[in-house]
Amino acid sequence: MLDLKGIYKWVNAGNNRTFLLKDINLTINEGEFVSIMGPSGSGKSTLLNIIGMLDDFNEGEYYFLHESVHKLKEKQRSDLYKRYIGFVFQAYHLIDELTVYENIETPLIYQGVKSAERKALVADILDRFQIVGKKDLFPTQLSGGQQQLVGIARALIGKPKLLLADEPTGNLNSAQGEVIMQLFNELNKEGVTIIQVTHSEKNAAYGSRIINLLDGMVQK
Amino acid sequence: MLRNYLKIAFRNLMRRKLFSLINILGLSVGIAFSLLIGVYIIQEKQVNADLKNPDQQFIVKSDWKVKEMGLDITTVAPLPKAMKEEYPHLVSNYYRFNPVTNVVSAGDKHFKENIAIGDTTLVSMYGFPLLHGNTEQAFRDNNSAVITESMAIKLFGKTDVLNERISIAATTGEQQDYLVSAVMKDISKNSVTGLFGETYSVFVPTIGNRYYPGGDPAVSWQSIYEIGLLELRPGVTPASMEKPFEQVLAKYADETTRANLTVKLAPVRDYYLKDNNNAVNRVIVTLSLVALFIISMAVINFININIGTSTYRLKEIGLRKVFGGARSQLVMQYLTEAMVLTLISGFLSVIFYEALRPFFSQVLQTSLLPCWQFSWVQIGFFVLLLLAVGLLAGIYPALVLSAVRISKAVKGKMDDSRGGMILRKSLLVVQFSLAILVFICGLTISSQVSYIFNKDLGYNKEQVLIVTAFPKQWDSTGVGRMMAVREGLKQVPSVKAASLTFEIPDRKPPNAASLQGEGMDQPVLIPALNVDENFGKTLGLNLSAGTFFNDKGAHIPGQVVINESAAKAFGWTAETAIGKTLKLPPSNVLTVKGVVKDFNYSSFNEEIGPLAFFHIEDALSYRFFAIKVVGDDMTAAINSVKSKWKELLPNAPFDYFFMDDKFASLYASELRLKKATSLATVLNLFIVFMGVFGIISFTIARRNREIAVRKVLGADIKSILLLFIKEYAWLILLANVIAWPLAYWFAHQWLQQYVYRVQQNLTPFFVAGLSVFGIAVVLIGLLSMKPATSNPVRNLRAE
Ligand SMILES: Nc1ncnc2c1ncn2[C@@H]1O[C@H](COP(=O)(O)OP(=O)(O)O)[C@@H](O)[C@H]1O
Ligand SMILES: [Mg+2]
Repeated sequence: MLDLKGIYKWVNAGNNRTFLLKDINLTINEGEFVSIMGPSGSGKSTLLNIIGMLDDFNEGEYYFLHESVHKLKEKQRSDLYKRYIGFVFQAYHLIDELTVYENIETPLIYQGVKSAERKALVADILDRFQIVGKKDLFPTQLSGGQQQLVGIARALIGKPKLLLADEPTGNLNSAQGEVIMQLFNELNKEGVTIIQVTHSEKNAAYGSRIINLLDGMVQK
Repeated sequence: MLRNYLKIAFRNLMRRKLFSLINILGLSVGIAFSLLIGVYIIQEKQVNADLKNPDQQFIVKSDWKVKEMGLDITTVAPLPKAMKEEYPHLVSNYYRFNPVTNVVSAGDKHFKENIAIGDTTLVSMYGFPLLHGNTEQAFRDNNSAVITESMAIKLFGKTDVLNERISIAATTGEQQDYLVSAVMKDISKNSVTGLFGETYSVFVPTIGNRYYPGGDPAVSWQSIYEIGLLELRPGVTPASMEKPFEQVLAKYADETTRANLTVKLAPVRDYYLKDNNNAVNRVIVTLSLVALFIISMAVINFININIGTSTYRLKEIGLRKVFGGARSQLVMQYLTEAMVLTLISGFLSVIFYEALRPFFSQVLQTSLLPCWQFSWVQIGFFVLLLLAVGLLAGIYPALVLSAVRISKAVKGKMDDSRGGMILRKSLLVVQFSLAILVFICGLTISSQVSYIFNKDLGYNKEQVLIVTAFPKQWDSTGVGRMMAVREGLKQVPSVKAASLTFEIPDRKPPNAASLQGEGMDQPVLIPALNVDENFGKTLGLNLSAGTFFNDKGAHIPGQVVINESAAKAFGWTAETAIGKTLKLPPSNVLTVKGVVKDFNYSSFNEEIGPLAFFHIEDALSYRFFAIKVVGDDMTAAINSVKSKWKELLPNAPFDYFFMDDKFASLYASELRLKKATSLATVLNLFIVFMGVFGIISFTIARRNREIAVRKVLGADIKSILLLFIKEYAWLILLANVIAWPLAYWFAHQWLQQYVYRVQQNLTPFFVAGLSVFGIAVVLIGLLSMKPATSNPVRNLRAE
């Protein structure tokens, strides 16, 4: 599904060059469920953002579904991730001014999906996540676990091939976390490729592979 | 305590530099504009206040049954004097004058001046200050003249000119000599020595005057073109003078005058404001409204920005409350901040005032007082204005923010963020509406002005030079000499045509003739002007039928030319009018020689009516040469006319102006209004968009995270820009809905004063609405470009 070859990312602070990622080589196949682990500040989020094409890298090659991401223009890249990638955040990042329904609908609007079709798709997913009753509430009226469910529903509404989750359970208690992990497991079985960042061994165990990061390098 | 408030206030201003700057700039522009307008208004209201006993001074006006019978500003010459003599317990004084323009000379210096031939009560009645001479008896005898300071300097190069000799050219072709007996200090604008907007600089006694062949112009009860002023005894009202006027007229005036004239007294005190259909008052009201608009805009900006950015400060407020700050203390804190800001703006506005003063003085055709000459009253007003603005701007945010509940405040969330939003948006709608309203009105004024200057007037005002015809010897010898001068001027190669005339098309001719058409049983009063046979050609009038007098040969007495309206008034068409006769009392019979198409002989406020042209060789009075010049080099043309003039009339001043300039001067107040509204439009837009700039920058700062999330979800730049534009598009649309009918109504009202006016169409409305929308889109685009294009990861991490 995706291939990273010799990825470097750095930032220049004054005269010093600080490396955030060093020589990352990584292949992830369709259908995998990968967990990225490592201490805080080791570059996990940076790596995930690069995979999600939200962030640039300074050196190396990145192939996603046989497209050379490093050669694509901004616009083409955003078309690519819009179509194939869904994001889940630790802080949920729901839009406070929009209702649950509208939050979930937003990616479809940006993908140019027609209104009738949007209605059907959102209704389906509300149903599946059992949050139909909450569709007219605003994010602030929900618990953390419910907010993350909405966040995942929003990530999945566009039927992505790849789901990227940065510490999706980081702000939740263990029971709520459990629900989310079960859900990921199900999704994976349905064919969605998942890459999650996590600190918890238990959550990592849900995946099929673990990648350890330390100081921006993959530990063998 | 106050020191503490001030310290915090300054710290807050410094911390939020952008918003402080926007507030200060907006407020200082608004205050400066109000200051300029305020000083102008105070000065205009002050006109005539310096006269002695200003509240007892009145102008004697005439209300004629038929308008053409006389002028409303003049009266029957002996009437004011008779009033004083017959009713000394009601009338304490009178002053009359006959206004003329002629050459005043001293030695070999000759100037064209406005001369008042009047009573010797001038100085004592109005208390005009003298530089030299005796205040009690400014005119020593009937050969004395009083002149103004600047006239003295012009004639003699100094002000101490008592007993110097000046001489005034008369219509008899003679000169009358006077000795200067007093020099008046140059006086500020007033309605006595500046009644028609012209300034009179030479004053001579009417008794013994020989300007007209008949001698003293103020003795005949037949002469009705004398300016008359009365000073009433304290407590006497104009209403109580009605009967006395009737009685005096009944005693002295002839039958026609008695039957048709009602005498009116107009207070001198506010005459200047009310003259000309309330012209000055209208300007004052318009400008006050504009100033009010602009300052409200600035105040609204302040309120909006303060409430909008208050989330930055909610924590501070909450903590202050936690530590026991009373609500009143918080209110004081906020008010202090508003006051400090207003005071800084006030200080800046004085600088703006001084910078803009020359421009405004020119636009308003006055000289605005420099700020260091402000009186205590003016300074008082200014301070009051600042306090009011500070209070208005500060009180609402102070009350709202100090009322926020502690628990919410500490978390940095407003109690009713939606309520606050609605208020902010409503205020924005108010601002946009005002801006669009002023914009549309400004455009309508511009289009009426350009209509005035581009309409086909029925005559051609371009390249027509008007030279005052001196000497004014109003008899056949004088006219004969002027006709010879006219022929001489025609020989100048650049002169295409030249005409000797009494009138030019800058007013409705004040003299009317009672003409009875062939087959009519009643005469009609028709304004008549005295011109020569070249007038039509020189001014490019269009003939409908006949010829303009006998244009190919010698003068034939007893001919008349009329305009189409006059032909219609007599029941003729242009063609049938030719050869018809008109009876002119007492026993003249005139033959219609030509009919001209109607032309705009006076301002657009007046409808074109019937008009009759008499030949100057029959009527024997003239004031101007109208000279049509050709070629591109006007300066050279004028110079060649001038050197010919010097050759033909070595002792007459060459005093000239252009017909198109004269025409423009008829519309000075329109041009003024146009400039003022254009400036107001620009200022309004400037302030509104500064406010919008402020509001958008803080909304965008607050919504950075949302923008980032949307980008991650696949939003492109266009859709993010649209998100913001849509929010404001609604407000602007709503503002247009509010502003358009108002603007239509205002413009309609304003246009009513013109008989000849533009039809309102949708162009100004769309231009204003769309420009405001366009600027908003560009501004929003520029401001939201940064978050819309920046990497969303950074903004999400900042959380
Ligand atoms: N744009 C950036 N500029 C400077 N430092 C950065 C930037 N992005 C990330 N970092 C730093 O790089 C390191 C890795 O960050 P991150 O990928 O967020 O770590 P993790 O997710 O593993 O906790 C951190 O020390 C972080 O402070
Ligand atoms: Mg991280």
